[in-house]
Amino acid sequence: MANLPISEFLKERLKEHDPKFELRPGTAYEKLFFQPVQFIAQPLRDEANDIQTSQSVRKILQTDDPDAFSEEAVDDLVANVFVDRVPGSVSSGIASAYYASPVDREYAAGAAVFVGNNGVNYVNTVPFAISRQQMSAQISEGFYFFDIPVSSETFGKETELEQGGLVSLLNDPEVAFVTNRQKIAGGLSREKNTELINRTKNSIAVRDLVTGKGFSATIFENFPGLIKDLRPIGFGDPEMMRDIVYNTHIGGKIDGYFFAPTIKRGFKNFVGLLIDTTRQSKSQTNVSLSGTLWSSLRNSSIDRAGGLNPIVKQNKSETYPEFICPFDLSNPVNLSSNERIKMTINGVTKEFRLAGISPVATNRNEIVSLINKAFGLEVAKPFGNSFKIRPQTPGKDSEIIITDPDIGTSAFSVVFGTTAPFTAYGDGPIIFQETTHYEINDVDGEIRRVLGTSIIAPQNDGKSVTSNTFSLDSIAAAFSSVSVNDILTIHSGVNAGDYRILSISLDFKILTLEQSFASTITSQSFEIRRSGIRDNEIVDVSYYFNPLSIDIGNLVKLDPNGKTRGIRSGRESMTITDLAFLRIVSIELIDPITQEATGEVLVGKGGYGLGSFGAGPFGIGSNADYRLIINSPHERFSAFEDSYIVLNSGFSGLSVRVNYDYVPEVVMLHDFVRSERERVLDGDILIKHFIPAFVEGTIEYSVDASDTSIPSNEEVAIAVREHINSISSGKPLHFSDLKQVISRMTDPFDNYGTFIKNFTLKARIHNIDGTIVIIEGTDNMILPTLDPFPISTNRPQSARITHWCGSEDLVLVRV
Amino acid sequence: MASKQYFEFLGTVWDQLPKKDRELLAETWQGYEQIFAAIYQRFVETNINLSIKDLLPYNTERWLPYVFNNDNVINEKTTLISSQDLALGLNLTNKYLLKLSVDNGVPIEIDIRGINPGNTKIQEINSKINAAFGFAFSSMIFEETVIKLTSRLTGALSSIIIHETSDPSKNACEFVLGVSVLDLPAVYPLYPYLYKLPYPRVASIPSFRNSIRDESLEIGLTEGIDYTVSEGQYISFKSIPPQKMWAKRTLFDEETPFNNFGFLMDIFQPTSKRYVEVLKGLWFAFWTGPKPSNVRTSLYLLFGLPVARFNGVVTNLTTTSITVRYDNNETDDFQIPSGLVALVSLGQSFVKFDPLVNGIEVYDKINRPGFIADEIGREGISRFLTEEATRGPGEDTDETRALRLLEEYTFLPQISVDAFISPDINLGNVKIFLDAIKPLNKTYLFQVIVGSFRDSVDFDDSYSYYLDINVTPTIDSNETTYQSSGILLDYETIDNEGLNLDPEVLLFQESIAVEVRQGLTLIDNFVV
Repeated sequence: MANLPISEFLKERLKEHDPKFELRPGTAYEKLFFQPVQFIAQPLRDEANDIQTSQSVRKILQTDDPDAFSEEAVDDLVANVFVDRVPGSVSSGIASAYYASPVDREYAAGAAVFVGNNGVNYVNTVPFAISRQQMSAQISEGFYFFDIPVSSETFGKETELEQGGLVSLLNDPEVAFVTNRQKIAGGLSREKNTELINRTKNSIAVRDLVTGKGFSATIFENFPGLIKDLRPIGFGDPEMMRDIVYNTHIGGKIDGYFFAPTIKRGFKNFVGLLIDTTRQSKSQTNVSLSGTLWSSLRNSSIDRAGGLNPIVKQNKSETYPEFICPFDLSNPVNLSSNERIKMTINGVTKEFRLAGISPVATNRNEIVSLINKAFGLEVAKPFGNSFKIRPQTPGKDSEIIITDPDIGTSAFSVVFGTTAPFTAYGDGPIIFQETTHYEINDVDGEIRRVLGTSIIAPQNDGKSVTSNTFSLDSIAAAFSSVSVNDILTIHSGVNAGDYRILSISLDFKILTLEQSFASTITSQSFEIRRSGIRDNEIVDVSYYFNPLSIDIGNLVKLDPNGKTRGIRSGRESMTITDLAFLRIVSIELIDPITQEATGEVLVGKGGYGLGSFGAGPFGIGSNADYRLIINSPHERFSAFEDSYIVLNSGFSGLSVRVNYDYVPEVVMLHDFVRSERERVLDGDILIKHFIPAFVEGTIEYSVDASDTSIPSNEEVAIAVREHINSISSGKPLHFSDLKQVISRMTDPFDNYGTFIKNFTLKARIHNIDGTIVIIEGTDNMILPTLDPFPISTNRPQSARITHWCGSEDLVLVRV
Repeated sequence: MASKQYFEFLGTVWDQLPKKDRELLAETWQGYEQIFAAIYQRFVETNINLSIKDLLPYNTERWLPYVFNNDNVINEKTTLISSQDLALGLNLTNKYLLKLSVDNGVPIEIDIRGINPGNTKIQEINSKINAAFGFAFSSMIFEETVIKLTSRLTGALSSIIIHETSDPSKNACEFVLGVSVLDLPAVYPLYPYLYKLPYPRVASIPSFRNSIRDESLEIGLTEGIDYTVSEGQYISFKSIPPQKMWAKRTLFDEETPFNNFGFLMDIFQPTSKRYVEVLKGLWFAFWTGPKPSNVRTSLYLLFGLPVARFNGVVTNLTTTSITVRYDNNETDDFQIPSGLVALVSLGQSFVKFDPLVNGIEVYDKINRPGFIADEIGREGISRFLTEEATRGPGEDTDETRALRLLEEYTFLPQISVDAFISPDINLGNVKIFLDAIKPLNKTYLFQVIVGSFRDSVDFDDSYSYYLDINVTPTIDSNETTYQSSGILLDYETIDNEGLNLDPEVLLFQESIAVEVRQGLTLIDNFVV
């Protein structure tokens, strides 16, 4: 902003008073009376500008280094909106000092100063004393020792110290060595101005969990340092799927996705795996049935409880019957003398008036709406300049019949075609009948064909008429006893095999078959059996079975409505309770006695995609030893996780260790948002971990080997992984940033001593339905979002609820 | 008046100074006072801008000199951009004359009817004007939807005048140029002497004077009468200004309201008193929660509709205006926008942020049970239904159930098209506000009432950059779909048949094409 020109202003004012008064630069009056006031006024102006800046978070952010701006000024400013700076915290742990012989030691608070290999001092926070006699009873590794609680002298994440990181105890020449047997942890950095301002911006709202800003403000305030990223999803957000009632999003739910600073690696041993007879797991598989031999369904212990019998179907998809109006209805039609129609859709017959409000000019939309109104369902839709009718369900039982009405004038010829009636039928697979067409051994999980009763006993002289029709000329009406779906069996020759009968001619002389002959048949032995499964036919079998399984989740629904939750009765020892459960890292066999790993790792990949987690239906060509089943996709990665691992039944009785990644912070966040104190009436909030996208690959780089100050490869790898974790949800992962992290750590002064090879990285996105999507990049990777986003899905894949995860899958190699 | 009083504190010895010197010192001290008053004002303004209650839109700097000469004079052609969107053509059957003069030349009357007067195209009007004047006086802008007139000469010699036509009943200037016949003759520019200002971001210069001292004052100019400031950097005078002038106060737009408060709420508007009022209202709403009254009041503020600034009482009420006196004795006069009516009566008390006219409603299940079924209908809820949902009017369809269930967690801001009165309504801010204040477990539908049509307008996530409001699907098939054509004929009523567009909705900052269809027939379109 412009400033008042002091000297010019005074000069002009005095000139107005006395035009003859001498005021040129250098004159005494100008020097004595004008210039000093400029000097006096300038600091005041500067101060005014500073105050103006300090009153605006935006102005502060626009300064060259916002984090260097006065913290006091920023604290005062944000205090107006009830936001306080996170002060940071010290790291704490236990230090151990070892001596060749016992000694007396007494320290006032802060007097015992241990130094870590990170250069940070750790001191005792309370007075400490130990006598020589006491120490003499404490021996380890041949040395006498004492343990003393210590905390870092300064705040900050960087004050955390790995196990064994302490190197000395100041001013104690007798100490042999010092160490910390456990990690010194808990350090939290003081919030920077930019971080504080950003949090302030997200805090301008009522401080409850019900608004977006209030949600973020409340969580970040109550869990400083535990949350790195947060994303509330509510009604109207496409990712929200928990609010569907009667196939409608009705709202009322909030999903709070969070990302914690670290992902923990856990394991649990399971000794003597047994089939869980209380759980019904569904499987679907395609099985080829040959002769009457038993074929495996891949799972034993078929469970029919609740009337859930296996369903065996012909391997064929369902189709809809459809009527498409043959007329161009872009202009209204005259139905004044053709008012009514009779229509049957899927067994429901309606006869109704089709003419519009003005019958002489009935338009297409009126016709469509009147049909839908008659059936109470949306069966008719505009289609081009016309319309079409399709039942809401497909299949063999689906039908459309349109004909003249029983009463009144018919609209058929004007709207539907030239000749009534119009009929159309859907199609679909044959549902085979147990014991009639097949039988199943429930215990072993096997299926085999049952041959139908003979309708036409074996006889000769069968011949083909065309490639898929068959006749027996010598006998009139030879096939009068044959029905559709009966099986024709050719006994020998190149055409030997089974053929399903689709239709029989009216004179019962010719059969039309579902399959074609390989070559012409002139005289062949055959027989016909009552319906059934063809020899070597691949059938689609879906069934329920009792799985060999490991449960995941300690708050699963114990009743249909979730009024009570917990671990399923009797399954406590077979349940993983570390949540939020992100992924299975591996499953390995262990010795049941020692519980030591035997070295045999189960195969987690196979089948379509990634088998155990993959996109393909389980059981189709899968060679995996186990797979993860998600019972409740929309509660995955939350404290309400309800999943289980199914292992191949061959592992029954064996013992395994499941290694997995989890994020324990979910539990306290879950309890917080659902507590009576914090939640809002009707606000059903579920805290979930972001959908993890684990980054994997290898980055090869070289450094100046003569530079001993360069951090170790492991330290660089940790920094790279932490950088990946720090990227906000939905943001791309730029490989140039990873290179920058490596370069800044290994070549901070740009001596060109570091060389990073070009690399390709992948990321495995673990969707909530158990599938994995793999993405790959050479320069960057972008988290995918479904487009168009389905209004209802068990896989709401979206960048903003997905988070990059840096893990040990990303390897750095120093070459 | 010079500050001689300081001699009274200096001791009598200084009374011996010659009168001339005493007056000189007094003048100097007076100058000092003014200098420190300027600094003091900076401090005061900075201080009060920390409180949203006292927030000022602009920052003041006192006593700035201004020079106007050939170094900063700007010679531009005069332009006149119509406010009328002519994309659909015009019915010029009855009104078809324009009478214009340019650069103080002879007025020319033009018959601008096209081949089909009932549907004259903008291209035809453009050609007729240019043919009459013999140069490219008229051009078409915004993808050939709006007429722009440009003078041939530049600077103070350039001008455009719209005159009354020989038969006033045939004057089409309102249809074509958006200039009311009541304003004729309309002269452009009103302030022909244009200069560039020496300081950036100038919002206003209330007055100019040729001297600093009141005793020396000879010439005083007043903003809005003698000159106007535009775009923060230009000033145009009615007549040639003195070469050097002093402004006792210059108001600078440092975007303080945005910097101090708007930034925290992600609500940006160009600085104005109205923006300050918007921020005050939204700040209140954000901190007091998503109450229906807060949502409604905030929408009133964002749309620029009359809202009480403080507690007070209605002191005067007509069909076109409301006068109020606040408890702090300040007063406000509000114009009642065309098509809206007062919600208050004479003598009625009101409290701060009470809406004073109708135009915006916020419905939920409490204040309007059944509002989803009554106001939105089946078409409007389709986005909530999954693919598996059964549809149709039957009692047991999911769609019918949804009509009842959805109101549990939904609210409906319903805006009358008559509420679109302000030239700087920013629908992006409306969405930001609603998204920020709404409970996470609830959502909203946004509905603009166009005549008797009810159009639900859904915002999607890409809204902030690509605002796409298309009411066509809803208009195409809503509750009116099943009405007879006789009823439908009464739905869109425009008093002046020549104005087959709705000029009152041409006022958004974003460019949003809205088509209004009756069945498949386009009956109106406009840009918001």
